[in-house]
Amino acid sequence: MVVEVERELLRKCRAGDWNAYEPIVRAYESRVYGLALGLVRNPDDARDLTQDSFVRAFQAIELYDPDRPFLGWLLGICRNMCIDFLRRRRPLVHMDDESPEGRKVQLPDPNARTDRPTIADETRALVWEAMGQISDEHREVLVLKDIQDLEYAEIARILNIPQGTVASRVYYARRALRAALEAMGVEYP
Amino acid sequence: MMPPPGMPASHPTGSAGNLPDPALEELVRYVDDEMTGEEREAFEHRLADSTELKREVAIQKAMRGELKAMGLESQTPPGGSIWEAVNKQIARPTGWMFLIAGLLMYIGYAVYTFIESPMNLFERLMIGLVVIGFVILLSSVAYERIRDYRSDPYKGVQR
Repeated sequence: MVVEVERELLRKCRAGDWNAYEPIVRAYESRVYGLALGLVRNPDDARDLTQDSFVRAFQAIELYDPDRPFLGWLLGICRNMCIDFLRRRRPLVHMDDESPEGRKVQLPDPNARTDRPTIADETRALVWEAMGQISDEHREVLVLKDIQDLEYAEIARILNIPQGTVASRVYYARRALRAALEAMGVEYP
Repeated sequence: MMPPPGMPASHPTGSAGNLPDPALEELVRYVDDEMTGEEREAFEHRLADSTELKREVAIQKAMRGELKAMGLESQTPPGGSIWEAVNKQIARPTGWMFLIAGLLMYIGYAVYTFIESPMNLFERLMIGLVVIGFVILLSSVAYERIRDYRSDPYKGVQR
């Protein structure tokens, strides 16, 4: 989204015009949902948290600093909501035969042209599973850096830690992911 | 090797090789392209002389590549756009606010009119009893609903 357009829309939102919020929601919902899905790993919960994040952001729009990228601020809200959700998540009684994590995630395949599973599908499924094996703290930093591709400065603001700590945490998180993949039988040269 | 300051002890440190912590930080900043040109040049000189550093860079790049290949950075939520749901949640509180404010003003006006109207005592008694009875019934139903919701053992069950 063009920065000037975004600023104008956010100005209108501050004035209480919720219709100006629609282009913002439509522009960023896939990024926010991607973050929520990476953190909570359940599509339905991720959708609810995405929705709640946008509502919370609109309600707190007065607190938004216009000098900061809006997406980063929004992702910070979503990250906090996901962390709260993971902390208070109770074991659910499942009414059907789904897995304990709920509906199975359909990982996207940008190169999919056939229904047959490919090596890439298997690798991505393994990486997804390995992401579930590492700690929430490691997972969140990998989602923010390697999936959402945010800069260290933005991640530092979101996690409220120094940039040096972000770098160290990214390092150990990648090592943890590799260890999880190796434990699942993946071999690296 | 001890974890860097601010790092929980749960981080796997055993496989981090013999690199000191500042070197780890530099290494990751190099992989993530967060270095200035000068820093990058200096690091690449050291990289050329260190097998261990090369191995660590390869590991970090491999993991970064695996995660990038997931294609998760931008995903359409199940069921399509969430705008309609967000719009409802944003707009409804405003609607309720206006409705409640209007009702309170209306009730206030009705009470004022009731007090000021030239009715006899019997008429006042009839209207007063109807209104009081209605309020008692309404509040008892609301109380039961709230109590049932709080004690519902199945309210946490999701499909």
